[in-house]
Parts: sequence; C-alpha cells; structure tokens
Amino acid sequence: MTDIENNNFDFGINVDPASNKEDQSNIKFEDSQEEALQSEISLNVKVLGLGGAGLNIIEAFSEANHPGVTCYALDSDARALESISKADTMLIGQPICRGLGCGGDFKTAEKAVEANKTELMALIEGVDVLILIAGLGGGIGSALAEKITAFASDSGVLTLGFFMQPFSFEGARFSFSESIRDGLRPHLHGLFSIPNDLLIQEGGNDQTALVGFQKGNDWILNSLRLMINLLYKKGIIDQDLGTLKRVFSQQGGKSFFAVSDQNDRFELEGDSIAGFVDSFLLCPLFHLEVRPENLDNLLIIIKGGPDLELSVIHKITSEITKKLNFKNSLNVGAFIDPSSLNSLEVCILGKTEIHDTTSNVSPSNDLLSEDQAGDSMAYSKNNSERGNSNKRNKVHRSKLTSKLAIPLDQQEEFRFFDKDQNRGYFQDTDKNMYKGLNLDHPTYLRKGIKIRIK
Amino acid sequence: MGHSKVVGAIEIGTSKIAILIGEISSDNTLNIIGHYSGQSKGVKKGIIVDLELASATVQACILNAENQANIKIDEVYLAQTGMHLEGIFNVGTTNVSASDNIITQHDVEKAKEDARRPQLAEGRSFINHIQNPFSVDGTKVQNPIHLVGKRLQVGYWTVHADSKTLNDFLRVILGVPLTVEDVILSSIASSNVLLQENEKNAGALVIDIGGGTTDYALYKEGFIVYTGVIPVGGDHISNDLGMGLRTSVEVADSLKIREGLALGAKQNPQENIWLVGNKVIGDREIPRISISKIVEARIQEIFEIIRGELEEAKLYNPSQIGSGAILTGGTSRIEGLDACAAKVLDIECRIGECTWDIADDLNIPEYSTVLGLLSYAVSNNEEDLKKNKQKSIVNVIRSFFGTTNLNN
Repeated sequence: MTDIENNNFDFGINVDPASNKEDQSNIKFEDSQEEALQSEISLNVKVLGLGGAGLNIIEAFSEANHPGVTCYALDSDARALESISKADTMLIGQPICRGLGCGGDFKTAEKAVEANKTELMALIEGVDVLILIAGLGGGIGSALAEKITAFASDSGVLTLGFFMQPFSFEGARFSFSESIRDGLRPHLHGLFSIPNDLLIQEGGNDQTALVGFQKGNDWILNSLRLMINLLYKKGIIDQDLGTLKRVFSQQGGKSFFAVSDQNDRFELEGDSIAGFVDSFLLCPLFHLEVRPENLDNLLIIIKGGPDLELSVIHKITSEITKKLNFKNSLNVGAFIDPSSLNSLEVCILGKTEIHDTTSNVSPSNDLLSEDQAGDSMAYSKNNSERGNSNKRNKVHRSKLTSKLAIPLDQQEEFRFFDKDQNRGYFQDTDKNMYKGLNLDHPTYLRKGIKIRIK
Repeated sequence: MGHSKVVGAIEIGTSKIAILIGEISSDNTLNIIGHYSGQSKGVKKGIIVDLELASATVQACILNAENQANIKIDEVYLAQTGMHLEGIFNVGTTNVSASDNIITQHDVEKAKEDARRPQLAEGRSFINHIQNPFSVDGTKVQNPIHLVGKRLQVGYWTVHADSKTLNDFLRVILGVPLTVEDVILSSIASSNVLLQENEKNAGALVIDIGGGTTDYALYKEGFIVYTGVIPVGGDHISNDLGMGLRTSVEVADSLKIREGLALGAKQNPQENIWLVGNKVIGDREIPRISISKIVEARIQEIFEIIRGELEEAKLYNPSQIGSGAILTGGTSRIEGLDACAAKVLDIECRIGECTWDIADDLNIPEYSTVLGLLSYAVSNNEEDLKKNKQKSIVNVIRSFFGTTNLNN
C-alpha cells in the first residue's frame, strides 16, 4: 500500500468520477463527501471554442465530463455547429452570413460578431475564468477572439487564450495573425500561441497532416484538462483559482505553457524520473521564443496515478526547475487520477510580470492579493456576487508587491510600449521584418524544414 | 626621429569587441603593437541596447589592450554597422569652366561638392562618402584633370546613419575618454585588407558575417558601388540551433562552433553526435545532419537576401564579379560556408585572408574589420603628411618671396 492510499482521506484527496471507470480497486469513494464537495463548487469556468479550429478542440474537450465547466462552440457556419454534440453552441452573424460562414474574411467576420454583441456580453457575465480557443487565421475565430477579449478585459474576468497561428509560408495570413495576436495580448491575462510551423517538427518523417494538427490540439487539450482539474479537484498539493490568478495576475506580458504527452507511461523507479523530465523538456513548446527561465511565475501541475509518491513530485519539480534554471516564484499542484496507474502527466504554465501598457493596467481588486487589495480578498468579488461570500480563498502576497515601488493603482498614467514581441534571444531588439518575414524567427521553421532531434 | 601616432581601431560588435593598437611612425609605416578581443555586452544586432553595460565593457577592453601594448591610444577609428545605416547614390555634375574646356582641379571639386550636396532627413548623419568613377561627357575616366570635355560628372555612394544610434557608439568611446578620428562602415574596412587592387577592379563582393549583422560591399571596376547591412548574423544561427535542437542558446552556440556545417549534403544522415559533448547527465545524442540543416537554412537565407538586394538595385551580374565573393567575420569559420555561398550566389566564393603580411594570430576573420580600420588610419596619415609637406613648401616659398598672397 502506498503512502497516498494511507493519506487519502486525511488529505481529502478527491478523484475524478468521470475518469474512474477502469481501476477503482485502490481508491475508495465516499459518495456523500463527493456530493458535498460538488455542491460547494461555485467556480464558474467557461471554455469557448471560436471558429473552425476552436470547434475541433471544444468538441474533444467536452467529450470528458468536467463538472462546473461550461463549454461553448461559436461559429458563423451552421453546419460546423451541427457536428458539435457535447458543448452548447451559438451561431454567429446569422443576418450577415446566413449560417454559411464568413469565408475567412475578417471584415465580414467582424460584422457578424457585431450582430451578436449582446449575446456575447451575456456569455461572460458572472464568469470566474474564461478560456478562449481559436485559430488566428483572420476569420470568425479571430474576430470573436478580439470582441470577447475586449468585453472580458472590461469586466475584469481572468481570461486565458490558446491560439493557433497559420504557417509562416502563408505570408499575409501569417502576418495578419501576428497583428491580431499582438492586439489581443494586452487584454489577456495569459496568451498561449501555437505556431503551425511547430507542428512540422513533431512526429516522424511520414507524419500525416491530420496527425500533425492533432498534436497541436493535444497540447491545448491536455493543458486544459490539467488546468481544470487543478481548479476543481482537491489534490495532494492543492492549488486553486487564487493560484491561477496569482500566476496570471495582470493582463499583457509573456505567457508560457508546455505539456507532456498524455500517454507517457512512467515506471516509478529510480532515475527514470530524470529521464521523464528530460523527455518532457524536449517538448518544442519549451523552445519557442518565450524562455521559461525568464518567467516570474511558474505553475507546475502534476497528475499521477494512485501510486504517485510525494518523493516523485519533489523530484519532478526540482528536476524541472533545475534544468530550466528557474529561480522565481514557483507553484506546484499535484492530484491523483485513479485510472492513471503508472502514468504521469505534467503541465507547466508561466507568466512574466510585465505590464500591459496599452490598456488600463490597474488590475481589479479580485486579481490582487489580500494585502494589495486592502481588506478585500482575492476571489471575494465574484463569490459575493453569487451570494457565496463566506467561501473565500486566500491568495498569498505575490512578490509583485515587493517588485513594484509604486502601487499598481497609481500606475494608470504611465503607459509604455508593450514589450511583447517575444523573439527569445532577440526580444529586446526591434522586430526584424524583411518583406513580411520576421528574420528573428528560425529559418528552418519559416521554411518548413523538419529537424530530427533523435 | 619624427613623432609617431598611436591609433586604436575598434569594432564594437554584437558578440565581440575587437581592438587593435597601431603605431604609425613619421614615415607612415604601421606597427601593430597591441590587440585585444573581448565579449561584447549591451549590443544586439549592431545596436546598443544597454549603453551603461556597453560602455563599461568597451572601456575595460580598451584598458586591457592599452595595458597589453603598454601605451595610451591617441585617437580611435571606429567601425560601424547596423540596420540604421543606409546608402544612397548621388551624381554630381558641373560644366567645365575653362574656355578651352580643359578640366581643372576646380571643376573636379565642384562636381564632388555637387555629389555630396543632397540634404539628409532630420536625425540622419553622413558616415562615408565613397567616390565612384568620373565621367567626361558620358565617358568613364579615372582622372579627369587636363582632359577636354564640356560636362564633368562624378558619382558618390553615400552611407548615412541614424544620428542617435551613431551618437550612442561615439559616447561609448568619448566616455573613455578618447577622440574618434573617423567612423568607417565595417564592410568597407574589411574589404580594404581582404582585396588586392586587381581584385577590386575585376569586381568583388565582400560579405562580413558577424554575430548580429551581416555587412556586404560590392566592388565594380575598382569602386564600391553598393553597401548593405542585414540584421542577421551568427547569433541567429545559435538561436535557431537552440530552438531546433531544443537546448539552450549557450549549448547551441558551442555546438555551432564545434559542429557547425553549412552544407548538409556531405553528411551521413545516420551519424549522431553528443549535444553537449562531455556525456554528462542530460547530454543526449542528436543527428549531426540536423545541425547542418538548421545552419544551412539560415546561411542560405542570408546569401539569398544579399543577392535579392543587389538584384533589386540592378547591380547583380555574376560576370561582373570576377573575383567572386570573399567571406569574412566570425561566422565565416563555419565549415562549408563558401560552398553554401557559391550555391546561392553563382559566383566563386572563398574565405577572406588578409593581404598584409601579419602574424597568424591577427590573420583571422574576427580581425579583418579592425585591420581595415588601421589601413584607413595609415591612408589618413599619409594625406596629412602630404598636406603638411605642401604647407611646409608653401612656407619656404613664402619666406623666400616675403609675400602672403600666393594662392592666386
């Protein structure tokens, strides 16, 4: 019997009933406790799949039941929405596109989105965490992302976005996606972009296009699942909305995410943990322009089976931080999935504390720590709005407080150029644009040259 | 024995600072008495991004070079690169003033003045005026004086810089404190020691691939007709390797030097090498061909851009570049670079070697720009000596005739 089993109820470990289909032998559930916990959950998370690319992911994400999470699919193409069975749907721009889609035309897409302005505003009301998924190819996904982000930014809801970008060989479409992405960044608390160029680098030489795109979808899906589990489950090392708000405390700045493969089988023995971490660090998301060592806040989410030991969590965390040379604020969340015996999944989310400066930079009180926000506690605003003010989560004082000599709420007058043009080693320099190409981006990526690493 | 001058040649590059100290004696012979090369800080893509850090680093390097030579630098020649540099071609025209249409020095000066006349936009400063051939009534000539013609023309390739960026570099040197005698475009400086006169006459393309930028200069019939700077250099190769092989830029940088090969065709696709090389924990095997694929893609692109820019300027004609491309700069050490260049540029390509007879430790690509700066210092000194000589002859004549009006 492992330590985890011994500590199960002492630590209030919760398990996901949806995933508890195959192996329930080692974990004993108490239904009453589970129900009690569910009833306490008042966290309102909405995941919106926007446009074609967003629809694919939202449908896959909705396959698994995530209590408390509302999934929406939004598109201007009625036929595409018909294929969505698990998520709620919203047809966008019916008077403009007549349900036939906007043909990837941004102006038409903008008009279509404008037609559903009221419904979109209503969609984000009372939401604690809003997660947007879209492709930024210049169609309805891009237009929806722009509009919803603007609404969310005004309402102060914690908003994260996963966005896929076209291949750089698509020229104008790629450049357009970059400008859309740069426009979204100041309004989002976390912006995670997945360039399609990266997908070429994954898999073997005979990888099909479908498998390649699926890889990008999997990165988003796996990260989402782990993040949602973190928010809704009690774990071995518990983290919650407060942690997420602390990591993504401000709009703008650089964000980072990386996730291990879901089917990474892991023998919990000796040095194989280091091997697992080495393999995980080869995920190409670690080697994009935002380098994890430059981040200020890092959240490591670990999901393991019932045999997951605390020493393993410790070793994974220390190996990751050591190898990333990360020395700043670290948060670790770990939870058990009883169906994941002998397997391990890790997701890393990170953020810098760079201000967005093109929009109102003062975070609303619910995004500040207890001390920063005076007597008001983080998370209290949304909870009190729903009549649940007694369920308060304390958020520890962020080291942001000590970094900023001037209180955040006095900084509104100071607006600096947004330094979000992240190009890794070249991020402090001007963009290297040459005939529509950013020469700081690796040539092999732009030219679609596949690089083997093994 | 006459007075000698101690000249410092300084290149503040993106990845390194190179300094040479030369002593120019009264008979205008150069003796290189000190050299130092240090890691550059606060500079990216040829632009100072941290003035304080760059100043401290440059000052420390100058001090080291002076200590090594055990002498103080009198004046500095500074190399300049970066995307803030631009070039324009101007033609100056004058009608020959003499009634017999014989061209005089006065006509030449008027044509030159006309060529240098164009005003620059606010915030821009001239760096170098590079003279091209004269033309008398449409016929190209080397020296028009005493020739007969009605119209004299001269072309100038003028390089100008962003004043603020240029001032940042000057402030770094002035802060030492040292006097900057002249600022010279890196590619022009390099080509001065890499090309013989006959090679310039046959046409040549000098490409200096540094850490953050690539400079190039095209020679046609002995004259520089075009210069350019691309904000891509060796650092981009390291960054590409870091991303492509999923390792740090530092490991990638050492890999570039250790294993970098610009042409993958030569390689065995099955051959693996160690990433770090010392087989420590965390070291892993990677396909060697992946390195050359990444390096080749970037290098090839650099040459494609150069060719594209020259083609746009309607100056790219392989048959007029008889001496081929001469490659220099730290990144030119990458194996197979010349073959990669030849593939893209369709001309013969070779790694440049200094045309001077100098010590082996100075005859390396990293020093070609500063050696070129010293050659300019020698040329300048020669002109000064000539002027002084003329002045002293005039003074002798003055004292002989006892008159002050000898200029007419």
